[in-house]
Amino acid sequence: MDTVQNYKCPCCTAPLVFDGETQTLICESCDNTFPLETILQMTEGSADSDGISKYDWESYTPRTYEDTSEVTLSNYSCPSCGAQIQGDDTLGSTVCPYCGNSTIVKGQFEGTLKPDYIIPFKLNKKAAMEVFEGQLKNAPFLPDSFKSKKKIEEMAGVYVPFWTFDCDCDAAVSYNAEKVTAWSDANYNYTKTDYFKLFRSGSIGFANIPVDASKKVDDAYMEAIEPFNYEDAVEFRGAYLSGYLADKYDVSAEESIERANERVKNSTIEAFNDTTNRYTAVIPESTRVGFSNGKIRYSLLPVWMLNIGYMDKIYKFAINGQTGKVVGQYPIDKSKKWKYFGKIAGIAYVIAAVIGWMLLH
Amino acid sequence: MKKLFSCVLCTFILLSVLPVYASFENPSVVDEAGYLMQSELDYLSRELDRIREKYNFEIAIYTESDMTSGTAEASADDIYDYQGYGAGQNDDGILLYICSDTREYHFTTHGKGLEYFNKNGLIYLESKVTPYLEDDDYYKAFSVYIETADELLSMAKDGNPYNEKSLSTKYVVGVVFLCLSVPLLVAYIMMKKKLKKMKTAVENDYAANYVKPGSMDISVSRDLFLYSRITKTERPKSSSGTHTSSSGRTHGGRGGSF
Repeated sequence: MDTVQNYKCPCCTAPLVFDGETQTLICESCDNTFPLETILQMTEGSADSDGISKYDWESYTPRTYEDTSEVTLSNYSCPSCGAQIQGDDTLGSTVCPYCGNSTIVKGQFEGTLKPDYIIPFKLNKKAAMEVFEGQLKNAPFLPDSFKSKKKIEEMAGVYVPFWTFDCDCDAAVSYNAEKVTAWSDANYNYTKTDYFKLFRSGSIGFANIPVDASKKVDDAYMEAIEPFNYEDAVEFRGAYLSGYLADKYDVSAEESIERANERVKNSTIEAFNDTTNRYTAVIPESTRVGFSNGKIRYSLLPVWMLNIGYMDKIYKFAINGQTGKVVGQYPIDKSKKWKYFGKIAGIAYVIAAVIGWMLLH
Repeated sequence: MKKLFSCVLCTFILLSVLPVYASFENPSVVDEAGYLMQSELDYLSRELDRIREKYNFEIAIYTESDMTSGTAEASADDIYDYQGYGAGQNDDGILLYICSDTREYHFTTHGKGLEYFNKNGLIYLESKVTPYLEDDDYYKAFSVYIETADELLSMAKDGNPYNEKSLSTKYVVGVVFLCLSVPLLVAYIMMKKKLKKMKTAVENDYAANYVKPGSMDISVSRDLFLYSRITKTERPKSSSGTHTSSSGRTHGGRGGSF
């Protein structure tokens, strides 16, 4: 026996009734009429976007180092933050690049998982420092004495472990949209709001979305120094570590998937939203995102970690070792901040006084 | 001789009086809508004629049930222009027009009326008259119109046309509050924007940098129109900015509905 499908009014959700004379669906509650085809297409589109999002990542198969004869590696451990870092045996660093602790302990290299690829450092220490110095002018409330009194506690080039995610994404999104037009005659202003239901479905591909695989590194710093250019990525060779540190991952690929899913989903929805910009207001109603061909790879990406001491505090910065992008938290000169506030408020008060005078006279 | 002197005197008096009446071709009150009793009409006409002659300035009332032209403004202007209202060479004057069917009113001004009954003067005049129109007390509304017009014309003749802005306490308080608070808000927002540059280590919840070039493919893009809603709101009362009537003459004015 066939089941009877009930359709609800998109305007007031009251049941719609089929009118044989006009061949349309009528809402007896709000008097709207809808073509049958519109309601059928709306129901079909909603069913598509109401589905459950599926994230299909293939599991990561770890690889171990087979040959480290290119360079003699040692393990360095920090008793303060627990960082386990590898570096070549001759590395003179005795300060932890993450927490600045100077009791870093050198130990026997115990082996680790081999990265799938590595992006070698493009900026050496001097170039990275020059980039950092150049960026200081972009920090508007930086104390004037910072340039002269700052003390570089530690600057280390670290290959930070990342999980990188590739996937093809299928998505279906439905939206409620409005288009507003306005006009006037001699006596009245009119506003017409047209209501629409939008459906978008399609696919989009992502490659090499990095997710920080080290607990010691602040995720905000690592996401802020993006993007990395993967055209420079090469097969991992131990020789690239010479003169630099390399962290071991301590966040599993499975633990990183959630963050990758979140970023992929957000960007997919954002990309689909861009196709609805001819409307005055668009509100997403339901979203289904599915991943396929999900690949996870292990990579080492170059980051200069910089700890700077100023006025008894440590300020941490990270510099993308490939692009030179600098991120961090700068000290703030409060007097500069409030002077700026006063200057803007003063200008705004003059403008407000002129406008106010014109409104009152 | 006495008779001749009397005739000359009468002729002189008539000649001296005639030009005054000649400048006002129309009755000061035309009540086609039938709002007034005859005694009221007579009294208002006398008062208007007195003020007309006092200032040599047209001041009139015109009511009708069907609108002459498309809008109250156009009707008032057309009646003023085509029925020959106005005093002096420039047809100076003001006319209060009312259409009873649509319950709309309009003050139209011309010549020196544009200056004597400027924007703020018309707002003042309107604020005095409209409460009585809304109560359907037309006799009182017209009486107040005459009194207020007399007041404004007196000020204009002294060289100081009324030009005070009518502001409600709520409006003044609102403007002062905004003038005090908005600059602080603007400065705070600008400062916050600058502060963002002091902390650049922030999470990135998107992966737009990693979209494969040319990989986006929208296979279904369906926009279904559902329904429309139209709302209409009454327009704010027209300002007294000048405009050109159908006769090509410049008018000022202000109007609305009651």
